[in-house]
Amino acid sequence: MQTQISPAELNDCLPALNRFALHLTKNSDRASDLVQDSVERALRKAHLFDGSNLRSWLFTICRRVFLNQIRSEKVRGVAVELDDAPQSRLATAQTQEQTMHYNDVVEAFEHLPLNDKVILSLIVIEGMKYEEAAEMLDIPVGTVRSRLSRARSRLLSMVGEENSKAEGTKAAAVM
Amino acid sequence: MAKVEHLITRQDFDAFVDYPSANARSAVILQRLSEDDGAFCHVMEVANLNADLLAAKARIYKDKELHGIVRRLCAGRTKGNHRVA
Repeated sequence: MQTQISPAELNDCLPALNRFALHLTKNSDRASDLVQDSVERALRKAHLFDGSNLRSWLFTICRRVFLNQIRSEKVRGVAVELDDAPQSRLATAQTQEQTMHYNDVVEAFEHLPLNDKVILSLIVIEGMKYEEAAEMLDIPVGTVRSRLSRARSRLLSMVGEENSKAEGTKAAAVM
Repeated sequence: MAKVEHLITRQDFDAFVDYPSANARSAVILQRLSEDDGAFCHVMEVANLNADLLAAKARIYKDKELHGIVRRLCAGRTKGNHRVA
């Protein structure tokens, strides 16, 4: 005998099913998807319902659907929103271009005057405060700021020159 | 009442990149960055440069002379002043 599931009875079970799904998934979007999948499956398999306890039958279906999802996620991986994805998972290996830029920066740094190298090392690499660096180098804080600014400008222009040289070489190679 | 324009120099932007949270003028600088594309580009350029230098620490300190000076100066933070001319 085929048992019909009454829409009203199904509606009454939905809040509890939603809570159960939320308890399983710990995520409201995934819980809604799980409830939808479970109800869809329940309607497809309505002929298997014995007519005794709809709520308990729906919960059983929900748990099975959830377990199936977990199993398939283990194989395929979980789909997440780009904004929610951990940065470490989004990181990609350095491209050749990035590596070349990094090399340009290091090479340009090597050609800076020693004073520029020292101020950049103290502030940027060692994380020293301007006041500390001023005290260590026995110069006013304003001088640290201007020296640092000049060192950065020099380094950036040298890196820029390196890049234009590289562009020129690329263009010559194409011609 | 006339609107007060805050004078922000290139060095203020640099200081903001170096110490964003400790900068007393952070709010004014952030406001300027939201309005001024040039300032924003400069800040991004300095931030990227900082990141590159930090990542290149090991290679930069292969310069023994530089590394020696920095080590002496950093030691001076806690053990008194060992100033390098």
